[in-house]
Formats: sequence, structure tokens, C-alpha cells
Amino acid sequence: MSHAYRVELGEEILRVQDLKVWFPIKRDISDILLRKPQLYVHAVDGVSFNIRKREIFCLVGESGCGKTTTGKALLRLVPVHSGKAFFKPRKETLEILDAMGVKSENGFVELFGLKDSQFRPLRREIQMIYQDPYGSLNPRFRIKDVLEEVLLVHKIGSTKEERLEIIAKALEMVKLTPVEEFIDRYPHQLSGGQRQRVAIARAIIGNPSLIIADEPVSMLDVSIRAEILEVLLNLRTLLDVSFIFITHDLAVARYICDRIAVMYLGKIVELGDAREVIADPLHPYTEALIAAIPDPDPANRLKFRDLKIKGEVPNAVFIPPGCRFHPRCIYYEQHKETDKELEQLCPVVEPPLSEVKPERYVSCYRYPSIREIVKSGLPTVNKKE
Amino acid sequence: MFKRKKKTGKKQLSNWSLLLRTWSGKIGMALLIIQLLLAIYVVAAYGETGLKEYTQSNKWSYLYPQSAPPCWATDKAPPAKVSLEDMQVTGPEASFQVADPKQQLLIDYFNAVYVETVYEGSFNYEAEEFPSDTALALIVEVGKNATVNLQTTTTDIIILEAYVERPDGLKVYFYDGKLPVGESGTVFLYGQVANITEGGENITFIKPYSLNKIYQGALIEQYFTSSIKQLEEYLGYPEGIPGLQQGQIIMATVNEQGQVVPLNGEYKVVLKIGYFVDRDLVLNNGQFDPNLAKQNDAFVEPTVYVFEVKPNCYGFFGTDTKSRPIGLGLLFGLPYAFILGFSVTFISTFIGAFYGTAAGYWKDIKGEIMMRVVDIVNSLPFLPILIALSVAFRSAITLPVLAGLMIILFWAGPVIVVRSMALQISEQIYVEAARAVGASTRRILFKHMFPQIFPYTMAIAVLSIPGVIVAEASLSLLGFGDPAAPTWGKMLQLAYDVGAVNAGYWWLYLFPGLALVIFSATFLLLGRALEPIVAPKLVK
Amino acid sequence: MKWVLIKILNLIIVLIIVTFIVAAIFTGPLAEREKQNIAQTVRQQARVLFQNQPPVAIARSCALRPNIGEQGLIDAINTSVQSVIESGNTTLPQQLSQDQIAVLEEVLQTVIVDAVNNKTIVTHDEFLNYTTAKAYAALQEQGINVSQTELRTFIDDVSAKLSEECKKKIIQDEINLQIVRKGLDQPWYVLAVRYTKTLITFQPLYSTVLTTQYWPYQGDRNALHIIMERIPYSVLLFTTSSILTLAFALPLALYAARRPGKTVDSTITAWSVFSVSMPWWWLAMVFIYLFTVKYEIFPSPYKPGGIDWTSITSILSMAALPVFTVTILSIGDTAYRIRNILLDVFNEDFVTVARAKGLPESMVLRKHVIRAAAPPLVTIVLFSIVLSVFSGAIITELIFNWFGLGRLYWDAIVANDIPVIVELTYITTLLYLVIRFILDILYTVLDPRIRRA
Repeated sequence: MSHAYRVELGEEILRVQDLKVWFPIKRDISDILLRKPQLYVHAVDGVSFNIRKREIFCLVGESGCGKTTTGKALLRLVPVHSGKAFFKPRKETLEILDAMGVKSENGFVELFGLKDSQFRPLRREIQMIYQDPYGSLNPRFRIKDVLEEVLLVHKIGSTKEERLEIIAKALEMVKLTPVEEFIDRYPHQLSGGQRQRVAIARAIIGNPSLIIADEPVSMLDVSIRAEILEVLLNLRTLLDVSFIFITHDLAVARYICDRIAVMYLGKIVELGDAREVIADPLHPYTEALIAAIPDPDPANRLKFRDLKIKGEVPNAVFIPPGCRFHPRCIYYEQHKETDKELEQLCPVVEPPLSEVKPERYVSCYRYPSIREIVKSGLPTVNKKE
Repeated sequence: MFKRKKKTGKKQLSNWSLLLRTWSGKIGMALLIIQLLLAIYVVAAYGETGLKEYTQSNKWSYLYPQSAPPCWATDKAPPAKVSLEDMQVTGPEASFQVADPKQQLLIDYFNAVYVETVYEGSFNYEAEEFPSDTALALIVEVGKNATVNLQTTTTDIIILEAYVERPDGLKVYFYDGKLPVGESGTVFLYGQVANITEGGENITFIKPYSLNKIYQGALIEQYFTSSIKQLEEYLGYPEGIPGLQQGQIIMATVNEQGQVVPLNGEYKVVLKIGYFVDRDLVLNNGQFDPNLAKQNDAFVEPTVYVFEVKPNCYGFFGTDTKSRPIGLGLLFGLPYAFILGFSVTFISTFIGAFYGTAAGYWKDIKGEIMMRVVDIVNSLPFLPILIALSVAFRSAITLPVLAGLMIILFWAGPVIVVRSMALQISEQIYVEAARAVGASTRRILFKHMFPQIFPYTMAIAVLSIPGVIVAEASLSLLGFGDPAAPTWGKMLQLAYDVGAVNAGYWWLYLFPGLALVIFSATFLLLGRALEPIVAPKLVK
Repeated sequence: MKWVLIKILNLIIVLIIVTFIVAAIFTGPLAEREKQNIAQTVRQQARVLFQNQPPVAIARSCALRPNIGEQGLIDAINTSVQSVIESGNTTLPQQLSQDQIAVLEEVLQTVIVDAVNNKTIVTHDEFLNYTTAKAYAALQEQGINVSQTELRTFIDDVSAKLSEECKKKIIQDEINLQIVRKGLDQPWYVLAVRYTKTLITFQPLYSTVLTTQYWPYQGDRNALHIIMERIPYSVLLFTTSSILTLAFALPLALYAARRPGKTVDSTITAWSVFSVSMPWWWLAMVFIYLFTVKYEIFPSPYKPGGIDWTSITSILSMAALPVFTVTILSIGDTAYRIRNILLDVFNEDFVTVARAKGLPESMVLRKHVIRAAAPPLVTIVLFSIVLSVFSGAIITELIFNWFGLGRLYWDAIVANDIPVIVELTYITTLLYLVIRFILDILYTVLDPRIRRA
């Protein structure tokens, strides 16, 4: 598979800085009385990235690494512990927000500082596509109702006819035609691919500028995945929309993404151009991920492949100190004897994410430049454009 | 691999056919339809005022026998009634010849005439059982000038003879003699005419009085008792016939075995009225002219003459101690049962369902507090609290107040189950998706969650209707019912209050109770048939 | 064991709130009713007491009441004089000027107070003579000339009015006094808090009307004793019934669950429908008629005074019919519920596996079915046996004229005996909550899944 489309990217529309989503663990009355400390699940633990217009930005990682939570946090579907996200909405939305007294800076709005009511207009701008096309549509809603809900919520289209027209247009855009045939059906009367098209239609019907696609094809039959991806790729040029594409499938990521961010245990460990990252992984974890892609060549089926990783994902409540990957890191294991410096760094200080090659960011002490940053005691420089 | 067939719209559509597939669903549905139709008919036919008459009108004692058992449960003694309208009238005839020489003097010397009218009716009595009672009403209207103007005479001027002639030829007299001299206007010999105002309408009832218990000082007392005495002596029971009362003895005879049995055959009811009157006032060309008599106020006429053989039973259900037909009460109670049962259960389940949905949606401290409140309401002892509240409201208790009280105590019932369902639904992706597109909490609760929960709560509502009806009956029994509404509970209360159990008036409580059981069972059956259809499997 | 403590804490909190609500519900409206009752009784007593009493005596008792006193009497005199003058029935004031009337009022006030304080004046005539003479003299002194007879009539009118006023004052005072004495003058929440505190700490509450009959001695007013005295009778009736019910229902349910849809099963289902949808007391009425009036199978009718509550044999013979009735009534629903539980377990895969393994049916039952069904079964058993005593049996006991707790509740309601009502409700709630708590703990013992969670 080669990269399908290359498009001209526009200006930056989203900048996430040090996003943390910590879920507090429920304490009962005796814990409170005994003054036990509040524990957290560190689902997302300091993530920074930026997205440009029309860009497809991929979040990759194994399940539980916080990629979905990152997406949901941007929609404020999960409580954010700390961090900032600056988002540049369209002009109309900005005007509405201005009227509500929301402060903006160069057209950027900070998402997490808003009140729920102030955030509502932005929900039209940031949309989400879910992994499970069976669960994400209310079984009691007809296709029409599913799509109309967005219009009703955001008061788009004043009459029923007008709304139906918009709905028809959206369905055409996701190639769910003939529209009349589908519009009155219930979700259970559609196939998985058709449902996912409805879900996409729901995401685009409000004319958003950012869509968070949470593994939109992973639950679909392989045969229809390509079609759905095609639809998504078309949309970005058609609607000028950017995507945060969450996936654990590197093949899909390579096919669709402009840039990839590899996440491990709530943190981005590597970030860079999609094809470059996959062709030439810099972080031991990325290496391990790529090595785990099944080899389609039947001749190799009996060959033992050495795993580039050991152990299991640690508990997100008790994050290992230092580099969070070091207990599983083969590189650390192999080199700690020879490279004594590693032993002082990896289990102790968290490596910052920083540029080691042009447009390639990684957080690993394999690279002397990163060691230098830490050793010189400079403040952790987060990835910056 | 992900073929999860969820409950779908298609399945919803076939609920009704599923409902009718179980036997409980079938029976419940049939019973519901029958009762619903009956209730609609009752409301349409009688209206609210008609229904309330059951508790508020006092017309019943004029219409029906008191405490009569159902007719299928006892050997039937047929009712009979002879009234003036059905009687054959002979006369009035004027004559100038009478047997009594003293009275003849009146005619000869005082320019008078003797006018006599005979009314005669009859009924057949064919039964092995004595009637429960007989009753008589006899009221005579006497014109002001209906007597010759006499100063000296001692003779009777108005002669009245009223009797029943039995098949064996014996006569039982109610009255046999003169009317008191100087009487004019309406003479109540026995019985009563009652005017009852109902809804602005005046209704006249003729109420014959019981002959079993003839009241002290009645005009007929002396004649009737002596007549019965004679009959008793004739039958060989000078000390009275055991087990029979005066009104029943009219129909008594002794058969070959020496037992006292009712005399079957044709009974004649006769009334003879004769009076002496000034010829000029009533005669036209030597003939009696009724119009002239009326015009001159010189008439003597019976206005009411009713002889009634009271049945010893009434209808299929009998009557209560206030003479109200039980059957009618059962019918009248039906719409009230529907209204009370439906309003209380549906309102309280609706409140509970919505509360539970909201409590399931809010997983924070808000939901937690909501559940503690439910815990508390559910821990309240139900009947004691209801009784206490009823005591507090005692004077003002009406059906809506009662319904309100029950709603206050019932609403928390379904909350726990509903909440656990809501918790599951709120975890569904489509709920989060709705949140993601910006749907408000209200929209999510009402459009996404509540419709899923609603069918199940309806099953809960249907299942809790019996509880409401039984609770109303229990409160009524203790005297905390709506005094105006003719509910089955009120009927049971009457039975309890008059000590029907020990008095043997079993029909007073058997039928209302059965009606209640059937009504409740209808919804229990329906609910049990509905439950598996609408209840999604709950994760344990 | 941490969670046990949490549950106990939870229980106590719920108990306190529920007790408060119960106390509030009862003390509020019922106290209001109690106040009305007091007012009515006081008025009736006053009517008898004041009959044929001369005004001076009434005024004297008015003045003697500490809450009214002489000042109250003076107020009453002033109002009486005013109203008599305003009524215009007497001729005296019309002859006098405004100033003179003021003087008259003043004079009358002192004179009447004197007369009231003078214990030698008893009859109305004495009072009139005394006051007229005094007032006449005083008026003369002030230079006001009035006829003595007119003055006398005037004072007579005033004293009649005064007696009315004093009666009103005395009645109101007495009502207030009694309300304060019974503690009903407090607002409802204070009363409710007071009750709650007393109940939670198990301090004795004393009944206002009801007393014990037999135990610990006749006439005890401790509400707890009144309740405890009745418990054995309720236990005899309802606990016996529920044990009998379980004894019959368990095997029936087991039989039905193994042959679902067959005769026994559908009979149980149908009977459960009917027994749930009928009021228990109704069937009690029917049974009493059937078995004691129509066919005399059970001993004499349940009339008041029919049972000697101290003779064991008498009680036992009387308990037969109620126990029979209640058992018949609850057997259907209990059997149906147990059957449902068992049926669910029978349909589980592990039972099928156990049978497939070739285990004998008795072993399947003992090792697999009963153990899996134990938690809900325990709920049914525990609730039905322990709570049977306090279940909503008010009317059933009323119908059977039974000397139990349900009847006690009703007696207390009729007598408006708030402490007994509140105590009884409290104990019922307490028992309910405690049982739920015990069940919670039992569940974790019986069900390993819950223990882990």
C-alpha cells in the first residue's frame, strides 16, 4: 500500500499542550477518614502535539495507551486533569463564542477553560467517529433522526425540508445512496459499513473543522475498510477538515496518515512523518510495534520472530519512574551493561520528547541530544514547531 | 464475528402478538377488554352524578329490598306487586238504596246519595318459599265537600274496605270501617309518598311500608292485627306462627302434613270505598258525574293503593343493608378502580422511571444522593404511613388526595431497577455520541435513555396496579376512603361495619372482593406476560 | 471487614432519617388533631363546670389563674363595660357625658375587682348589692348623679358580659396549659427531633392513652412494653404461618420447577396471581364465614371478647383459623417466587453439565442447584419469617380480632396515641433495616462472586 493522497496542508488549527487526563480512583468513606492519598489512573499523562488544516494526524499505540482518551478529552467527554488545547474554530463559530464572552487569541480558543455552555457551539466544530458502528447509533433512531439530531442541537436549518436537504447532501457525501432508500431505515437494517457511513455523515453534517476518528475501520470487514478510508480521505479536501485518526493498525496508519504519534502509557514516545516513522522507527517501542505486524508472506509463517519487547503493560495507576517504557525496553536491557549512563537516566528521569532528526521527535536516551538536554538541566523542551 | 443482534424496532412492533402468545397474556387481555368496555359503558350510561348517586342518593330503599341475598343462592319467592293503576275499577256508582236503615235515613232525609267504587286487582303466587315481607301503601284523598252536611247523625259517612282475598277465600283485612269523621285532604292509612330532589329534579317515590313490622299508631294497625290474629287462630296457631311475621302470615296455610307453607294460587287485592254525599254536588241527570264531583270537591278517591309481595332475594348479586343492588355497585366501582389504579401507578412509575434514569445518568454525588433518598422512601412502612397520612387528611380525603398520597409512597418502587438499566444504557456509545454532538442532558435523558426504559416501566406499572387497588380497599375498610366515590373498598367497608360476616350476609363482601380480585388479577396476568417481552436482560 | 462498618454507618444514617420522617409525619398532623381534641374536651368540661355559677365566682377563678391574673380580669372588665355601652341596651350611659362615662368605667373597674377579691361575696345578689352601693358612692363623690336602679341594671349587664369574657379566657388558658403540659406547643420539627432522639437512644417513650394488659403488669405505659406484650401473639399467628408456608412452599416449588408447565406448576402460578391480587383480610372474612358460621369447623366466631388472651389452649384453638388463612394466602406467592429462582438455576449450563456428568439428581440438587439458589432463597426465608411479625397485617388482625401488633397499631391510631404509633413504626423500620443488613452480609458469605467484588 502506498500513500494514497498528498494534499497541501493549511495553517495550524489545534495545539495541545501537556494534556493530562487522570481518573481518580473512587475512595470510600473509610479511606477518606484514614486520609489515604487519592490515587489516579494516568490515562493520558502529558501529551503535546499540533494539527494543521486538512492534516490527518494519527495516534497509534496498543490498547489502553490513552489514545482514545486523548481524543475524548478534546471533546471534553472525559474530565481533563490539566493541560491546554488551543483550537481555531471557523469564523461563524468564533463570532458566536465572542458573543458568549469567550476570550480568543489570534482566533484560537482554549478548550478546557470553557464552561459547558460555552463549549457547546464548538461541538459542531469538533466531531467524533466511533469504533463500533453497532453501538454508536441509537437502535431506536432512524438514520434521519440520527443526523437530524445534530442539526436540531445546533439549530442548523430552520424547516424540516431544509434539514432533510442537508441530511441528503451529507448522505451523498458518504456515498450512502440512493438517499431515499436509507433515510427512513433503522440502524439494524444496515450493514456495518453502511452504519459507519452514517456515523461519518453524522460527523460531517455540521460542517466541522476537526474530526476525531476513533479506529473507524477496525470493526469492519477488511473488504470495506478501504472504501471507508477513501471516503474519509475525500472528505478532507472536500470539506477542509482535519482528522485525528486513532488506530492500532500501523498498516492503516501508513496508508492514511500524514503524521504519526506513537503513544505508550499515556505519553507520546515518537512523532513524525507517517512513512518515515514506519520505515525507520527511532524509539524501541515503535520498533517493537512495527515488528509485531504480521508478515503476510506465507513462506515466513514458521519462522520465529524475535520480540522486541518484554513483559506486559504496567498498571496505569503506578507509572514506572523515569522512562515509562524502560522496564520493557530491550535496548535498555541490552545496553545498560555497556552504557552505564543509561542506568542513571532511564529508570530515573523521564526523557523529553525532542527533535532528533528533521521533523522527527522521539523521547529516548538512545539519542545523545536528549541525554544532553537532561544532563544540562535545561527545562524539558516539549515538541515545538 | 461481531454479530450482536440487539433488540430492535422490529421486535417492538411484534410485542402485541408476543403478549397474546402466553396464556396469562391471553386471559389478561380478554379480561382487560371486557372490563374496559364495561367501565366505558357505565360512565357513558350513568355519568359522574349517576355514579355518585350510589353513595349519596337515598332513593335505593324505595326501589329495592334490603339485605336481600342473591336469587341463585336461595329458593326463590317471586315478587309481586299490585297497584292502583293495574286494578279493575267498578263504579263509581250512585245508589239510593242501602242496606243499613240508619244510612238509608241519610239518603231519604238529607238529600244525599251513596257513591261506591270498587277497585280490584290480583296476583298469582306460586312458590315453596315465603316472601321476605309484604308491604302496603294506602292513601286516600277526601274532598272538602265529600260528606253531606250533618249535625246530628252518628252514622258512618265514608266507608272503606281494603283486604286481600286469599285463594282459599279467606279475607285479610287492612281496613274495614269508616274513615274518621271530619277527615279531609290526604288520609295516609299506610305507606308514604316521598319526594326526593336529585340534581334539581323532583322524583316522587311511593314507599309501601312493611307489613312485617307494622308501626305503632298506624291507621290500619287495629284492623290488620285482629285480622291476622283470626287467621292464626284459624290455622291453629293462636300464639302466632313461629318463624313467620305478620306480613308473611297473609300467605300462610297448613298443608296435609301439618306444616305451615305458603298458599299458592290467585290472590285478590280489593279496595272498596263508599260515601254519602249531597246529591246536588255529584249528580248530573240522576247519574254520577265524576267531573262534577271533582269540580265541587265532593269526591273520595284512593291516590295510592299498592300491595307488594317482597322477594326474598334480589338479582344475581343481592342488595346491601342500604337496599343498594350489589351488582350495580360492582359496575360503578369499575371506572373508579380504573381511574385510581391507572393514575396512581402510571404517574408514580413515570416519576420513578424518570428519577431512576436521571440517577443512572448522573454517576456523581448527585446520583448518589438521589439513591439515598430512594433508600429512605423505600424503608418507610407503607400502610402505617398511609393510615397516618389519611388520619391527618381525614376530613378532606377524596380520591385525588388518596391518589396523591399513594403516589408519594409508591414512586420510589421502580427506581432501583430502572437505575441499573439506566446505568447500562448511559454506558452505550450512542449516548456518548449524542453528548459529543452537543445534545443537552435533557435531550439525552428524554430522547436517548428514557425511550429504552419506558416499555419496561410500563410493565412495572401494570404489575403494581393490584397493589394500589388493594391499598385503596384497605384504607376504605378502615374508614379512610372517599365517602362520595362508590369503590369496591367502600362496599367492603359497609360489609365490615355492619358485621356481615357474623350476620351471614356473605354477599355483601364476597362479590366486591371477587370483583377486586378479578380486576387485580387482570393486570397481574398482563404484567407477567409483558415482563419478559419488554425487560432487557440485566447484567448481574 | 471495612465494608461491614460502612454498611453499619449507612444503616444508622438511613435509620435516623427514616425515624425523623416517620416522627415528623406523625407528630405534625396528629399533634394538630390532638390539640383539637384537647380544645373540645376542655370546652365540654367548662360547660359542665360553669353551669349555674354566678359571674362573680367565674371572675374570681379567672383572676386566680396565674396566666390571667388581676390584669387579665381588669382587661375583661374593660371590654365588658365597653361592649355593654356600645350595645346601647341600657339607659344609663345615654344620660352621661363622655367624660362621665370614662369615670364610670374607672369606678366600675375598681369596684368589681374589689368585689372579686372580697371572698365573702358569694351569690350574684350579694355581688350586685355590694358593687352598686360602692359604685354609687364613688360616683356621688365625683359629682355624678345616677339612679341606683339604673346603675344596678347596668352592672348586672356588665357582669353577664364579664362572665362570658372570663369563661372564654379560662377555656383558652386551660387549653394552652394542657397543650404545654403535653409538649404540643413546640413546632413539629422540634417534636420530631425529640422523638427521633428518644427512639435512637432507646429511651422509654410513654403512651398517652394505651396501657399494657397483662405484661409486665396491667397499666404500664411504657410504649416498648406495650409493644413487647403483643409480640408473642403476632409471632404465634404470623411466624407460625410463614414457617408453615415455607414448609409447604419449598417442596412444592421444587416439584414445580422440575416439571414446569405441568399441573402443579400452573396451579402454583395461578394461585399466586390470585393470592397477590386479593386483599388478605377479604379472604379472612370469607373463611370466617365459611368455617365458623356456615360450617362450624373452627371454634366460635371472632367477636370482641371471644378469646381469653391468657389461656394457652384458648389462644391455640383460636389461632387455628388465622394461621390456616394466612398460610393458604402466602403459600402461592412464596412457592411461585422460589420456583422462579430454582427454574433460573435449572436452566443454567452448569446444571446441565452436572447432569451430563451423570451425577445423581439428588446430588445435582444438593451440590449445584440449592447452592446457587441459596442467596435469594435466604432472602425469602429471612424476610418472611422475621418480618412476618410486623408485616402489614393491621387489617388481618383487625378482622380476626387478634391481640397482636397490627391491632395495637390500629388501637393507637384510634386512640391517637402518638408515642405508641411512632415507637411501633420505628421498631418495624429498624427491624427491616437490620434484616437487610444481615442479608447483605449473608449474601457475601453465600455468593463468592459478591465477596470478590
